[in-house]
Amino acid sequence: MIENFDSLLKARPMEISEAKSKGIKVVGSLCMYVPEEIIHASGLIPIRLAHGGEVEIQSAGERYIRQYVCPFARASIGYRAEEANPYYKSVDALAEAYTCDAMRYTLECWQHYFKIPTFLLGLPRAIGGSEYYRSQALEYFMNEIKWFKKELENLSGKEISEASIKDSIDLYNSIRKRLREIYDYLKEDSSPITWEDAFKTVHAGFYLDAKKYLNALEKLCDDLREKEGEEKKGPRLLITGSIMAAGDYKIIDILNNIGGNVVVDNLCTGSRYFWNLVENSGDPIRALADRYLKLPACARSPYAEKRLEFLSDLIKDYRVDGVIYYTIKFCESYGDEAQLVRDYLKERHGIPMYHIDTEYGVADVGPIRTRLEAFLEMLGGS
Amino acid sequence: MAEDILQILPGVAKVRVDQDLTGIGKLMGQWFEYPEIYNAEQKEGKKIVVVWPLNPTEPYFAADVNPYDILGHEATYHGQLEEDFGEREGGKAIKAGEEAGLSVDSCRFNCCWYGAFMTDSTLVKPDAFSMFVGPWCDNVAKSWQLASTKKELPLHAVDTPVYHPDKEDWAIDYMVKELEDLMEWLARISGRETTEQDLKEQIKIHNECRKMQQEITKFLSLSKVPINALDHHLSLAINADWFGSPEKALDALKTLYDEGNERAKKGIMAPNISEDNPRIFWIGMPTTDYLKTFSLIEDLGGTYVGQDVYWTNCYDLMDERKEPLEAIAEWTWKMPYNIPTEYRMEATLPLIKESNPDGAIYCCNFGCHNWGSPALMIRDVLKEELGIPTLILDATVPAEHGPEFREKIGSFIDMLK
Repeated sequence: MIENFDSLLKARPMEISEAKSKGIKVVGSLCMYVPEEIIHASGLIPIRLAHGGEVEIQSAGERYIRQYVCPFARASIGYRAEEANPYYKSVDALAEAYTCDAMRYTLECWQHYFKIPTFLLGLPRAIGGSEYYRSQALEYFMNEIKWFKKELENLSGKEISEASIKDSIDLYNSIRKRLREIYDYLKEDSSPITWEDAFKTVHAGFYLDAKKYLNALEKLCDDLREKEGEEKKGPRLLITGSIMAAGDYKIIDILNNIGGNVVVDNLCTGSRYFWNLVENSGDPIRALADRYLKLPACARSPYAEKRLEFLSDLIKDYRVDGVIYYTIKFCESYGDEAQLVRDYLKERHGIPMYHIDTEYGVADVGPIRTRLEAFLEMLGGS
Repeated sequence: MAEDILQILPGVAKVRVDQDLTGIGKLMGQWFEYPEIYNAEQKEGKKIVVVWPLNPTEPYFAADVNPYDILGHEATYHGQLEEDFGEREGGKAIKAGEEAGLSVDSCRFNCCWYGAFMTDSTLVKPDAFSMFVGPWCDNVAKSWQLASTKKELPLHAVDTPVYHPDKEDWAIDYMVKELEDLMEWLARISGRETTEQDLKEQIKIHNECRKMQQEITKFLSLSKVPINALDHHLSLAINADWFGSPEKALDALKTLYDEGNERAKKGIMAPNISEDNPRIFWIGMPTTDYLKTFSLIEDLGGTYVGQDVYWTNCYDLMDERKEPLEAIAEWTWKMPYNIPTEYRMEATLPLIKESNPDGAIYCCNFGCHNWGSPALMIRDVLKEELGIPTLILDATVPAEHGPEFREKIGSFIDMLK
């Protein structure tokens, strides 16, 4: 079903290499809060660097950052240090919104040790409360996006027009609509696509050319409309928590082996990345700032209301029976909130949660498998 | 009360301050007494608001609430004076913190106050939580969110924008609006509006305190250092909440300054150190036994000559000519502890250089991203820019890191000799 994306991904490093030989630069970003529309509108190549799961790469990062910083941060440095991934190797500048300490220092390492220009966008932290944000936060983030735009103009040597930003917004909105359409199938008992394939389809978009990606998504949606779904048995699961990077599929593999039926995620590399659209009318910078501040919030924010609301909506819409709370070691933003979420799920929805806290690598596969089996049995699905 | 605590708490006897210095006696007395004063004033209706360690405290004193550095004070009290580190050492604070939801990977210093708070063992019972979130410590931010949620206390977060020299206009403007919101929130908490004059008066006295801290710090650049490591640290560590009274703090600091100055004029060194000792600069963060670690440096033959930690936010004064909220915003935004490492090192390297260190100790708690992340980078910068070596220490709880600290610090000082 998603083979088309695999072949596009195989060809992508060569495409990027050819573009770079023509002087087109690559701008990497580390998280979902960087407005990729602006990078795209500048004519530069946006790539979301969200790869992970490899122990050797994570260890390579420890030459630059302490081992008690999250494995995703260590890997994000390690990939560049080892030149082990064509996408990380191709990056000419790195952008990040200030989400957490680990991401900020990842950016600093790239600048200090690898001499890569970096752009750190200030991202309001006091967001996601009963109102999404305070009025001054919008104004502030608009200024940050304008600053980012100017930096990209300096990098590309070309001015970014308002029309090109609006075009890019339309393009990315179309992508997000298709991804929503794909995720909508997962609400059904007999979905024509598995959550794993849907999730990996999202990851393909981190690297592919946006227009080619949209075409492939449209083709996939056409195919899905024609395809008969297959009923999957077992309790319906939701995965939430820290970043589950592209390539960090340990938990997915374990769940596949024990018959776990994941129907949706609440992850920054999954649903939260594409869930809401940009209102593409009026000032595009304002529209972008509004959209990114209203993203289903990361646990970096000290206000949890909107975050829990979004989780609640997913649980209702996808008829979830149990939640897997996934954290990577030393991601305290999510680790510290686990108990709060567990209590909330129990009180609000009467459903249980199982918390997995893990590093990259296979050392803990056995214990995690045993515990997940027990969790599924408890849910009555074994 | 101070004398009672000295007799009751097991950890106090192991904390070595210079008892010849009256200024230190005043600071210690103020430190031990102010929770009791807060409790008494709370009964009369005055609110206790927990403040973020990097908060400027002018808004709180101006709003007539009592600001309380719950992290610094309760973690020090429970972790070090009560020696309540965790199950392994017979205590309960850290274990209680984990049971109440903090990740096992969270730094032990933070877990210590949180555990005490969640088991109702803190010295004061706060009425609300206020924090300046942004470029400092994800872990403390989460613990405050959990604490306020679980105890159903009001929480207000002030957003501190990221520092970058190109962003001053909109960043300060944003922060001023955030501070206006804070003042409104404080007015609801205290039931009293704050005037511009209230803020100006607080900025003035806070600046007086900071000036004194800067003057005391200058003693450390002398070849004959007249004050000990722990005494200097205490003179700085008060500035997260001024132990409840900037006025009393100023008096204690002035006394300490006069005493240090007298020694400096006469060329008298502080006890237990010698002019030949390697000069050590301390960078990083408090650990669960950091008070003793300062003395340990001296016991092992080093002389402490300064620190760059989150309590050294006296580097700059607030601009008294500006509108008060603008001055507060600017000071907070530019505070070295709040800014990216590149700019932070630009700001702090001259200060480190001034104290003429032979080596640096960089201490971070296991699990701390804020300090753990840039450790290697700062070590490299100190080597490149100042030509000095850095010892990196990773702290957990004293039973685990204590012997290792002693060995490593001892070897480091021997190497510098």
